[in-house]
Amino acid sequence: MTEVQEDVQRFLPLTPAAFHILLALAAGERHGYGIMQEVASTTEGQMRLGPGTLYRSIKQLLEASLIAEADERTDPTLSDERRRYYQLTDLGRRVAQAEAIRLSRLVAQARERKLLEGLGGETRPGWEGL
Amino acid sequence: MQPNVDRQWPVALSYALYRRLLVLYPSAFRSAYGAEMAQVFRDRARDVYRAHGAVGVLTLWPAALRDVISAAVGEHLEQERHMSRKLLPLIGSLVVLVGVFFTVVPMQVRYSVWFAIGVFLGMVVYKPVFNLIIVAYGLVHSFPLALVLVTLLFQMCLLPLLRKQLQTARELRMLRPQLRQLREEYHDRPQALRAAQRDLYRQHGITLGALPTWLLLQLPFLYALYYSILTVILASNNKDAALGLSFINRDIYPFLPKRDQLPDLSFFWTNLGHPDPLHILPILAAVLTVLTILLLRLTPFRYSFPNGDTPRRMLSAVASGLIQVLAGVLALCIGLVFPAGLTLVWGVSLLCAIAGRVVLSGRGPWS
Repeated sequence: MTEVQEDVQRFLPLTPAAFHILLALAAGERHGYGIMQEVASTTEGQMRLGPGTLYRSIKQLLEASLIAEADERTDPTLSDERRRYYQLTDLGRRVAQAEAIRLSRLVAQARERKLLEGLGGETRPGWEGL
Repeated sequence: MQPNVDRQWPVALSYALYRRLLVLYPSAFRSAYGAEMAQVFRDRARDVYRAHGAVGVLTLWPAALRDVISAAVGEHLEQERHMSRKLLPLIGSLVVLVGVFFTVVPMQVRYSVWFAIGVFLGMVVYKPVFNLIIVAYGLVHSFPLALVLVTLLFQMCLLPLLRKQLQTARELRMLRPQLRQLREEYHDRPQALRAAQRDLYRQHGITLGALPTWLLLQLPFLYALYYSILTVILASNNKDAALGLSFINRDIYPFLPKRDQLPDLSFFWTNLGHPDPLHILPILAAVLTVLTILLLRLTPFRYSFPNGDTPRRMLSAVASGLIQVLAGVLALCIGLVFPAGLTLVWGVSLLCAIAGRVVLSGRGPWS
């Protein structure tokens, strides 16, 4: 477990939308619709960001330098329009990490207080599980 | 992968509608992310259409509308927070005050306030104009002519304001390329844009208040004339001539001579106390209204939102074409319903404005 730095703490706790976007970008660069699809699939369709919410969060994350614009290119799996791709910055990765640690501590506490018993030990990564 | 899915009507229509909705966002946000948001929405609509058809696309809309509205409101509020911390509390307290006025405040107090406003307007706006008309009537012995003379006098007093407004409009037209340049330069920094525009206006000595003031001052004047004509109509319609005459005399200042005869309201083919039966005056007023707007370039909205924001663009788009037609129709409707005296005064005011434009610019009206 890495040491959590001070400068990362001021971003916490992240909003659900922000954390999901960082999570989606942790696997690699994505464009807006890619982020939306990724969030929907990791939460099994429970959380679907609308374009407005998505881009408000993207704007805030860009302003905080947690993500950055990569480049514009076409996505071969979609139409041949050019799309802007986004990537996680170093700071963004550390913030996402710190948020994950914070959440995992919460989950550990929930487990200690026997909130998760009878659920087969596995919990969904979605927010509803917490 | 099949680009022709985009051309299927459910996807194409949804995309077109969604793009229209983007005007709800602040312009800086829209220019930065609008195209991408629309793209994302189309991607989603396309996928849903492939899986579930047109009905599927339809079911996207409730969530999409919620998303657009909440995000747009959030983004506007955030911008307002950046721009001025004063405006929001001000609007908030105004809303609360009005709410308190219409709910908590007892009816008697509320009516007293309306009454006080009425008395105030009567004292400050109606009575001076009415007395002026009566004085003019005593001089020329014709009520319609007195109305026209008072209107001419009032419009002449407003000429300096009109000149200022024409100057402002001309200077703004000349500054248009520079303003466009500023907008391009600062398109992502609305605050800096506003400051730069303010500087530019100050450098050229432009005050944006001139036009609204000139237009707004017409309102109390028309209000005063309406009530002046109404007083005379009420007096003339009374069966008891002495009682009718007292309606007029009680509004005349004590230091002015009282009238001993009711004024004659007939004016060529019509009576100024009733709407024009031949509809000639209303039609003339409507035509003059449209002409005046065209000649003076009275697009007040362009001046009220000088910050390059959404409402300004929407309104100036409306102002460029529709507003002339609407103002003409409005003038026609008012002329058909209100006493011909008011229409006459309106027409004379417009003629004065047009004449002022011609004289002040020193050029022909269409140059």
